[in-house]
Amino acid sequence: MNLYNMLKPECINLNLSGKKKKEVLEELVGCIRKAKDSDLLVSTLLKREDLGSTGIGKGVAIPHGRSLVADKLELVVGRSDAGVEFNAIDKKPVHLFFLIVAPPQDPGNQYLITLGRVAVVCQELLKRKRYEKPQTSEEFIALVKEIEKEL
Amino acid sequence: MSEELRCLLELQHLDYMIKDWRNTEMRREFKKIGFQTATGDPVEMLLKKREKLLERISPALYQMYQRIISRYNDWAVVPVVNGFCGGCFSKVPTELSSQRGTVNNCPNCGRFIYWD
Repeated sequence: MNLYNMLKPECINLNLSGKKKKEVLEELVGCIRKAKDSDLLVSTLLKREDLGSTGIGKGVAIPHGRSLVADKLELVVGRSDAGVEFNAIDKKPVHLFFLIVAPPQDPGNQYLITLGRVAVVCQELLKRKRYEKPQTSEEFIALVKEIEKEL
Repeated sequence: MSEELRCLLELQHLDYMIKDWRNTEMRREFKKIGFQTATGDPVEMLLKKREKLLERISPALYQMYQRIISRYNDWAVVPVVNGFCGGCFSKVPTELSSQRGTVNNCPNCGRFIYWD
């Protein structure tokens, strides 16, 4: 399973403008074209955040949830140069976001597999801040592809 | 979308989350990735949120929701996509679409429907 195959240029926002958790989640959800019930999805993601932040430290957060908004697993990437206060475990601002939205019925357990894969790829993206280099969505996908070939 | 239907959708989303947090494999993976949880059991926290949400749903609707869930074991509230029920994929009569503001059920499977 490769993330680069799942990434779509329209689902990558390298210039997030949101400053707060909710604003950023809204921006990320907005990238999913089908998200007509986006406010409901944002509310679900915020409920997940209430359980404990999905900011796993070193400037990365992986918000995630299930919703009928997605008829297949959706992956959205966001990057904020300024950083967002996301109540991450190390209390540092978050610069890189991977939003995962899965449909409720997930026969191959893709949700869990993707979560694990994102965590691994993020570790590589963090090395020498490689995630900062891409200037376009296509360049970001190419970088993820390069990383996944190295793994 | 009516307020009641919206509450039912919220309930359904909460139920997905509760199901995930009850799944030990899922919890193990969450921990492995590095997600930390606030103090307290996540399932208990979600159940409290669920209880609070139930205050906004009439007992009759909630009973119907539970009945649908137990019958199909998947989802109770589904979108109508291109005129078809998102649960059983049967054609939804067009006259129902004129009642979009109210709570409707698919005449075939009984799931709550809303227009996507």
